Amino acid sequence: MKVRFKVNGVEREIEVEPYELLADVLRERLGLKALKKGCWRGECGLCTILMDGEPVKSCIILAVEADGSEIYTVEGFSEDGRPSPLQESFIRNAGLQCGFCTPGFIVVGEYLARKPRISKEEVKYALSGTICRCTGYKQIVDAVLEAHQEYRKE
Amino acid sequence: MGGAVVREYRYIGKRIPPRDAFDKVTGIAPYVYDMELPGMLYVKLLQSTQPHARIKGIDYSKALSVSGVVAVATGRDFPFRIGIYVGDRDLLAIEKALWVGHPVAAVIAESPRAAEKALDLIEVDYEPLQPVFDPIEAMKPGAPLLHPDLGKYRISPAFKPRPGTNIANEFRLSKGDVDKGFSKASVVVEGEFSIPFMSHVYMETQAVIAHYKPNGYVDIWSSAQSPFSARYLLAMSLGMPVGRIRIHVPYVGGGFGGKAGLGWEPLAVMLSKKAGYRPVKLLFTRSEQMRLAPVVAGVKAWGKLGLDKEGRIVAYQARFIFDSGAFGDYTVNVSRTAGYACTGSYEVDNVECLSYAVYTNKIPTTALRGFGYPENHWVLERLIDMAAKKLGMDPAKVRSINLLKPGKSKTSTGARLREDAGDPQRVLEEVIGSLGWGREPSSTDKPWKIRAKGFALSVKGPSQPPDASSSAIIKFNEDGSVDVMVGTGNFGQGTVTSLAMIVAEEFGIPLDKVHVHEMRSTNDSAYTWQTVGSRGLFTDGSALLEAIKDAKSKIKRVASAVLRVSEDHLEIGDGKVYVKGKPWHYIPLERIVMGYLYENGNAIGGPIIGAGRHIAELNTFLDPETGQGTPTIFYTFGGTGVEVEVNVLTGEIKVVKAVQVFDIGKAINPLLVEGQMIGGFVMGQSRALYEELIFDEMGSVANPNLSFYYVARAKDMPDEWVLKIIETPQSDGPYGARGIGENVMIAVAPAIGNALYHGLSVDVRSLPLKAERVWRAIREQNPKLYKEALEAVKRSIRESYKKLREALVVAR
Amino acid sequence: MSSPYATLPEFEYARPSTLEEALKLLAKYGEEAKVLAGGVGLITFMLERLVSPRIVIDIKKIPELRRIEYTEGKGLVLGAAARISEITRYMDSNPRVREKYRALYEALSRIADLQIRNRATIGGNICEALPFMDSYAPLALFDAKLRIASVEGERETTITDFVKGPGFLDLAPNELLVSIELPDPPRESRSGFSKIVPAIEYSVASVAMLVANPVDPRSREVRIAVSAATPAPIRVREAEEVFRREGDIVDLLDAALDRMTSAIKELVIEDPYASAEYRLEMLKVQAYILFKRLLDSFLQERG
Ligand SMILES: Cc1cc2nc3c(=O)[nH]c(=O)nc-3n(C[C@H](O)[C@H](O)[C@H](O)COP(=O)(O)OP(=O)(O)OC[C@H]3O[C@@H](n4cnc5c(N)ncnc54)[C@H](O)[C@@H]3O)c2cc1C
Ligand code: FES
Ligand code: FES
Repeated sequence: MKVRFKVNGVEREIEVEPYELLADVLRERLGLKALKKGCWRGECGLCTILMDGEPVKSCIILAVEADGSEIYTVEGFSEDGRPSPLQESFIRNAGLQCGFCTPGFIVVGEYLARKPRISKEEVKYALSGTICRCTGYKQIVDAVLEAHQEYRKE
Repeated sequence: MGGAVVREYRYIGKRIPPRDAFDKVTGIAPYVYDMELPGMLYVKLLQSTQPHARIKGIDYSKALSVSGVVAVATGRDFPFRIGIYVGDRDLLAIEKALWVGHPVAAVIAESPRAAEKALDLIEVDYEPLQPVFDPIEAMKPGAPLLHPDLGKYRISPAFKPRPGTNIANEFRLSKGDVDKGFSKASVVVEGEFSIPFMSHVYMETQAVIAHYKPNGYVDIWSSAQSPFSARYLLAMSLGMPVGRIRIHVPYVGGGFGGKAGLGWEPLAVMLSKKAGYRPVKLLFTRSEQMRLAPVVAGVKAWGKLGLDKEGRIVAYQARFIFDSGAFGDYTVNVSRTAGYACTGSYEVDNVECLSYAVYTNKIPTTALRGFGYPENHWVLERLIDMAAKKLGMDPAKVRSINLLKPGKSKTSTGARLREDAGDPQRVLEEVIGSLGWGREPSSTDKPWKIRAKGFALSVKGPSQPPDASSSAIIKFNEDGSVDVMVGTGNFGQGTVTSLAMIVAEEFGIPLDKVHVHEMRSTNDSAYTWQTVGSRGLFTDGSALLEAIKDAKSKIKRVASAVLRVSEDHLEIGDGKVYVKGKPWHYIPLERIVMGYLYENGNAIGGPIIGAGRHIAELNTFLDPETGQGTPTIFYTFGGTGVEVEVNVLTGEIKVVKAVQVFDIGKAINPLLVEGQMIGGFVMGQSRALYEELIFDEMGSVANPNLSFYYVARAKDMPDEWVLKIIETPQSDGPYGARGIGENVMIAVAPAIGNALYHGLSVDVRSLPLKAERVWRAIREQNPKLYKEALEAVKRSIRESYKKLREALVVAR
Repeated sequence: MSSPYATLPEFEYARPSTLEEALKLLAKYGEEAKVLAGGVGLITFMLERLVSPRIVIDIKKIPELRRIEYTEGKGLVLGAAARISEITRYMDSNPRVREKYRALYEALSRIADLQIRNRATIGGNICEALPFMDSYAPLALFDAKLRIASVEGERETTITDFVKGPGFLDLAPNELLVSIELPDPPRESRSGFSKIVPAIEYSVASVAMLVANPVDPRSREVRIAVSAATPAPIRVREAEEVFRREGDIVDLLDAALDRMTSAIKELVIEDPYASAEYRLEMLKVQAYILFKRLLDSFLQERG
């Protein structure tokens, strides 16, 4: 089946089987390797992407379901290889250790930090669909809140 | 600071973000999970459906006919056993399946889809045998034997399996006379404790790519913590020359001990050969990870502690039974460590600790961050609070009296603690100070929620063989920048950043002129035994400092000729080599590190390379009868305090405040040290409150997923953090530093257990402290508390109702 | 459960744009078809090989099924394929509707996590038929009507009649859940939802409660629905009836909750994640705390 969608700002059209998962198509067919899988079934959030502006878990979405949608992965947030203010904030706050979960957190983080208003408590809950086994989350939450302040200034 | 000279550092001690953070936030950091090689095949393992069974036959003819399937392998293809300490492990089940999940066959195919299709078509003929799931049953004579050939397996010198039983290792620590000790005790407390099996849940599941080449060389890419020891063990077990095996390790998505030693490399290598020398990739889904890759052993323990009337510990006795599952792997050493370090941070003259690792028909187990210390601390640190209460003494006082004294005390293994080992008394003071121990916890606005405080101390050093060693190489580039070649793994602990900071500091060059390659390879990185046991910074950092010294002296030799002063009068800093006291008389490093060129065209020197090494010089084996000796290169002391909020009616616990205090000698990078303290706390909290692998009646993991095996999320983390670093430098550590990576999670569970004990008068000795378990303990041990809480709710309902009625009257 | 598979079994895919088309496909393929709404449940079930349909029918593009509408006097209508996050967002921008159906709002906004709520649908949550689905207790509380359609016609049912037990629905292979209608709750009522999630993702005991006119013995009403602790959701009418007796509401509470316990005692689930004893007690404890919260919410509005 033909799937047409916009990925990180670029129109793409590809042929997929109905039983192919969106995560696999993005990773293996479009080479977006930042996207990871940690659970294969919707639990860990590492495969999170923005689909039509909202974070979703791409390991439990069929590629055909993405037809007509607009998708962002981590690769879409840095411009000319320059990290986004949120990515900078993750670096500054050391919001990462092994880094395997980081792409998942960056995607949800961008979504949260760009909201007009968000409290610390909301950030904690909104990040709870994504698992990090290394950092204990504090520095991730701090990074999102700090970036939120910056985006608000913009 | 008593007149001590405090050196101003440019990098050391500064909060510097991790060097690899850019790669990670942009997602360009490569993991084995991401890697593909041309012509690569995919492997899928068929899991046993039987906990203990003879394999009479495997019919895979249908699987071979699936399009895209290249080969199918079974245990018959690889009739040998491997293992880091006890050679008990097969690559695929040989003759017998030992747990539900044991890989019995491997399909190698052109795509994961083809491999998964073929998997469903393999038929295995099992002859069920009697299984044994409980380690205590498994220790009894006459229990079904998992490894009847245990006596014939290869065994490392420090281990003592008992052939003809299921005991994979037996360890005994014995010092003084416990009976005599207990006879002097004013109070004696004892109890049984337990810890469940858990999964490491590193976020990158096991991933390995192997390419066995027709010329006899093997290339492996592995998500591993110990490429060098994996290479060595692999070479030994496959009968290959070490130098022909190259293991490459890119970024590693977490390890926590679960990727130490020998992983899935041997199977992948043999499958590559079987597939006609094509590269193969083995990658586990989370479910496979939690059913067939090694997890963390469950423990049944017992402890008995005696205090005299002053609060001095007069005797301690403990027994640990580690449920090792089907293979011994690291668990034999974890159990040994739990035994030899059973007295924690305290000086105890009369000790007897027994520790066993026992085979059962369950998933095999291996090391986890903490390596036996979380287990022995869960017993000892809880018993101390129980004994203190019985004696009517403050548990902080009891600890203070008994703490090891650096320079004076002898540890459990009889070795004298070095003078500069740290300041345990100060750790204790900081913990209770920051926690506000002794002050009532704040009350809550809900009468059925109670706040409570608790704390525990911890100590740990790396558990490594006495000859574990490390090395480091640095080489200069034309621009005066430095390539650092170290073996220490990078799974985010921050060691690599700290090592780069050391190089930048020592040469006075900008940090971005220090390059540490993300890919470590056994052929072009310097050797390190393993990246485990919180040893990386200490051992590899020491080796690196020696390499720096080596390079400096080579630079000075050349500079001495150019500047016409003796080497002793030269200094290196600020990216220059200069004459002491006359810094204007210098040569920039970039002009000398590749060879110095005189104006007339003469040249001297040449590219500078520095090499260094480290070995633990005064360590010993432990005495096989008494467990006495010197097992470690440092001990890091620390402590954890918590304030928790307990819902008395539901048993739910929320950690509101966390206190972490560690004496790490020197914080090379406090930002990253804090990252360890926070991350370790939350992992410890997760283990204390939530995590438990559940087994069904077939001994099969019933919750191999992250919905029913819950790990802490952002919403669970404490609201308030106090993180304190104490710096009592250790003279032989780099800049005085000691390790910290594992220490951070050891005392969390006992601190929470102690909080329940003090704040609610309930004593829970089994982990995890799940809501129902806590609820049950409250109802059984402190029914009044429960009743009062329920009454309080009812009372407040009546009050609300009254107010509501009054409000209505007023409204009318 | 769980499985080692990383790939899905092979199937065909259809994306009807009208209800009629969808019903025709269901009639044609029957047992061999599976409806896909958010896919959160279906895709994981397929990964685990619990189901292997020949065809997957994606109902998300049928506008009728995406409806979210509130009409004064008639109530709230939710299309089966309305996403959880769309429903809570709708309620956030219509606070009056949110407060009317507060128990539903509280349940939906705490399902799983941000990402899952952006995919999962109310209909999928209902049709997944596992005891701990969070929509169950509130739907029972508000007397929700489920509209079911097939090529043969339409019928109406309730959540307690529809959900029979784990994996077991009163739904024929050719039928589709089309919408959920929640009539207006009693005037001046407050409702809420509470669940216990003890170190797993799912609830082991959920309670939804509604209180109207608490101080007026004649017009007062209390409703209680439970789920997760029992194989299927239950509206505990035995307990509700106690509040029709003479006396102050607070004097009847103990008796009502005791009645609740005795009415459902035999049905409570026991598994490795929570004992029956704990689940039963948690229903009661939560009911007390919820009751207090509802009384206070009456107060707050007055204060
Ligand atoms: C990590 C995780 C955490 C979760 N936590 C929670 C939680 O806290 N609380 C909770 O309640 N749930 C939870 N869930 C379950 C989740 O909410 C459900 O899987 C989801 O609501 C299903 O909705 P869906 O639209 O994705 O359904 P789908 O997956 O599309 O469908 C589910 C089932 O219903 C059938 N179906 C769907 N729509 C219809 C229809 N209109 N007519 C007939 N049949 C239909 C499908 O054929 C399928 O069998 C969790 C799931 C995951 C993966
Ligand atoms: S891989 Fe998608 S949520 Fe874990
Ligand atoms: S940084 Fe390792 S899992 Fe988050």
